[in-house]
Amino acid sequence: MALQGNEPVETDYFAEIEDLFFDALDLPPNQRETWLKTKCKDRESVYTEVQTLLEAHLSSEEFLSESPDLSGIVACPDLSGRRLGSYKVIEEIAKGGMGRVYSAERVDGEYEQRVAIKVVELGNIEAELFRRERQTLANLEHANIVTLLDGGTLEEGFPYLVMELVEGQAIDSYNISNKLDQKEIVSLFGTLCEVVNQAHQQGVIHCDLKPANILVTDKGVLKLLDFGISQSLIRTHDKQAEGSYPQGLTPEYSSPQRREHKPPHVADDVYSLGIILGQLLIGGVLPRVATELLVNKRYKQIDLEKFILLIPSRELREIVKKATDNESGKRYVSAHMMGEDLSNWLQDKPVLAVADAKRWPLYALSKNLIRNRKVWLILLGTGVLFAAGSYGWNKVSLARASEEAAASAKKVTSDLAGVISRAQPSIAVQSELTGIAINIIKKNLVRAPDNISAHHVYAYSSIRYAQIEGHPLYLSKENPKGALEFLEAANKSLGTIKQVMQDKGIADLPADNEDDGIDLQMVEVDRLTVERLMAEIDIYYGSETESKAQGLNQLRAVEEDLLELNFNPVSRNRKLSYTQDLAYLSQARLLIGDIKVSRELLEKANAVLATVSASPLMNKNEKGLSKEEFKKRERFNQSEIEVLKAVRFLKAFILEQKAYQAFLQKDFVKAKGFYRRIIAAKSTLNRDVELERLTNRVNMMQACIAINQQNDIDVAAQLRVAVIHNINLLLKRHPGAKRLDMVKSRITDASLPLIDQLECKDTRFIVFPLRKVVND
Amino acid sequence: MELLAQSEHHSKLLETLYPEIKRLAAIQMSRERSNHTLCPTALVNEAYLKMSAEEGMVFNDKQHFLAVCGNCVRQILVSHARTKNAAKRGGGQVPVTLIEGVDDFQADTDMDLLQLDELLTQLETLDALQVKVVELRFFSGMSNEEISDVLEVSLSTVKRKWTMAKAWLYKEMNR
Repeated sequence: MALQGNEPVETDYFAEIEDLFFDALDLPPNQRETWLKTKCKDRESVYTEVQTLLEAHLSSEEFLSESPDLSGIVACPDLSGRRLGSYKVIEEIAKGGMGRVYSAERVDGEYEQRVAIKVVELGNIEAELFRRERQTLANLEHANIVTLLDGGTLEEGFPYLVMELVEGQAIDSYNISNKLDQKEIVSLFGTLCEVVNQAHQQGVIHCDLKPANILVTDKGVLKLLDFGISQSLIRTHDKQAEGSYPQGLTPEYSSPQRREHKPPHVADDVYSLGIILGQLLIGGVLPRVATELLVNKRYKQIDLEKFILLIPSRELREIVKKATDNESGKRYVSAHMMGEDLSNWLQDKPVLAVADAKRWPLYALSKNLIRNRKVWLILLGTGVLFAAGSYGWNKVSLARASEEAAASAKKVTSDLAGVISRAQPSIAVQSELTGIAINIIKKNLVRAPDNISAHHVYAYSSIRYAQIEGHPLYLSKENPKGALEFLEAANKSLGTIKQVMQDKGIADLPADNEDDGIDLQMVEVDRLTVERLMAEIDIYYGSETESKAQGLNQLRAVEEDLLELNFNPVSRNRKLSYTQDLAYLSQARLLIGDIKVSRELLEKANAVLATVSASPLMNKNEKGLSKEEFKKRERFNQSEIEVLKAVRFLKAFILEQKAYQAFLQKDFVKAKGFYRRIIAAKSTLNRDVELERLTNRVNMMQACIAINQQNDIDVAAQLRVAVIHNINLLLKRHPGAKRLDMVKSRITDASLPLIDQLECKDTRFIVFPLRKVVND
Repeated sequence: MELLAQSEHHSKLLETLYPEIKRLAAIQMSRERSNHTLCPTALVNEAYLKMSAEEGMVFNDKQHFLAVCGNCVRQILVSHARTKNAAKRGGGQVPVTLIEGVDDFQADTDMDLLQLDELLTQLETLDALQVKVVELRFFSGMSNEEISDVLEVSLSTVKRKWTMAKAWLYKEMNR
């Protein structure tokens, strides 16, 4: 007998006790004590042991007679009237395969609040998984996803969720009762796609999208229920039950892959979205036929086709068809793409699904709306002509000419910034436009060689151009030589400004508005920015270790000088660029693993960034606005949006570094927390290329944590898909961007294992642009 | 008496069984959805049928399987009680967790179960056979005859060990 290392003496001792106990039991009760006493002479402890056992025996008749009830573990009681934490349950409002939903109200006197409480009926193991996943849900903040307020575990062991109580209708009945027309349905659905997409980007797949989970409030606001809940259920069920349907999932909206218990995938939600969209489009007209067709699963294939034929618009039919393709690979790669295509339809642009279907060969041409760079050149051209035209240099004095040259230069750059920001043309087009703008400014500069603000605009434009041309930390044309030339030019202009200011004894040049003042210290800060950018080019493009070390040394000097300046920026633009400087210096510190200094720099960056504020946007569509007022408001809004974008990026960038600091210190929970915050704060509007690239890095890092720390390949694979999808979107906007191509070819390289595709063996390759772009 | 060995095979079996029994219990409850008592014996038998039908799950014999089952049910109940107990003491792992009002009666039962589990572990070092008998009879709900079959010991030994275990556990619990 392999017992657990116990002393044989003790076993023997216990065996003796047992023998004595049963021998005593064989005797009539009144003789037991005397017999035992003689047997245990001088062995008090044995006597006491057996004596107490005999007493226990008499009282233990009922003891352990009934097997424990297992049902307490698996059956969930009715909760009506019960108090859960700060909430009192009122009544059951819904019952589903997965559990029950109750309405409840807050009773801790803090404030009045009605909530919904969902109890999930699971066994313990599933419940444990669910509890873990609940944290993911808590992080999933989105105005259109029902907010998770709280959660806990019933004493019976069932996990429950406290959620925002939504008073609304399921989307299908909302559609019918409000008699939505096609355009209204499609536009509502576009929002739905974006919401679903955003959850996907956070690694959460719904898996059970159906009208009942999509509510619309009286005000027309979408609210999605049960995000992520199904996913955790499916994961456990699929592992255990083959062939049986996971509890509570709805077959008519489930993709073929889901029905075959393949791992949950973004494409499953896209499928469900397709079915729902079809249902809504038919809904107003023939709801019952559609439902019957769907529910009758015996002829799935044929029914789906018939079902789609009921959709009135040919283009929308193709969209539904594409979303519900049997092969998941042929569906929209994401909910976002589906939403985009719906918005194409709304705007009368070519619909991708139709082009894909290739049934209308001249389709794309017939729409003839494909954008090309000519459009941008014309757009900018008007700005340039306008600027040049306003410059009547024959008629005015030299001083005035100089002023106008500066104004003209400024106008060109702000027009350029506006066009780029609004239209987000490809890197190639941006570069071409910036080049043109710089030439115009240069010409103006010849006419006003001493004009400080003209030089300043020139320096700024050159820095911008250098970034697009070939700076490793931006999406660029990967031409570092060109970039360095422009940085030199910027440096020269800044030097001229310094010289002019010193010669003329100007301490500072007051500005016409808050953002445009210049003083000597600012010029110095700008000069350091240029030096930093140059050093970074050395570090990441340098072919030898020498140039890298040189770059790092140079950065160290920049850092020292910058901190010594004790710069206290006042204007918003200044604050933003100073934050940027600090954040990039911190990044370089992280590159060499110096967490301490990196942290100090980030703290400073954060403090500066915290003082930046944006004003609410103005309503430019107000009735009775004059044309000038409209333009003014538009310009104002544009600049506020620019500030918001910059702040958003910098916040994310700082968080990314904080996460990486935690990662380097092996605090993966903390790192994950920061990464989640980045994703949660991301907006689907105003897609900024650098922020998108940052998101990719975050997703790759999260995937690596999933692989290396949790061995969760599923999550990593999902994140990989999200990254690929995002790269594809970026590549569509910036065709030929070599750095994107490089990341893409690696992450999609089938010959590499997942861990290498995602660069998880050395995450520095994710965080820093260490891989050289092959430039031909 | 090989059955009493805490072999690697045993722990592997337990690993596979644990979720299976949990799942079957959940299914059985949702099927009937009433407040009836869930019979562990039926569960264990169903688990056996299901798992022996699957490839890769080969049990030496049904006895061996059932012997492990008793231990499995014990672990399920104990872990359940432990979770609830932890939640009550505020030791929930999820930061957002709320703690529900304590039901005293239920809490006592849980405490008992946890104490019983500890005592069984202690008893194992004294007489492992007693523990097996308790697991099969109390946790799996088997009769003495079935236990005698499963453990391949005489009926009288089963009775003897059961009586002894009961007295000892009762004594220890009421100390």
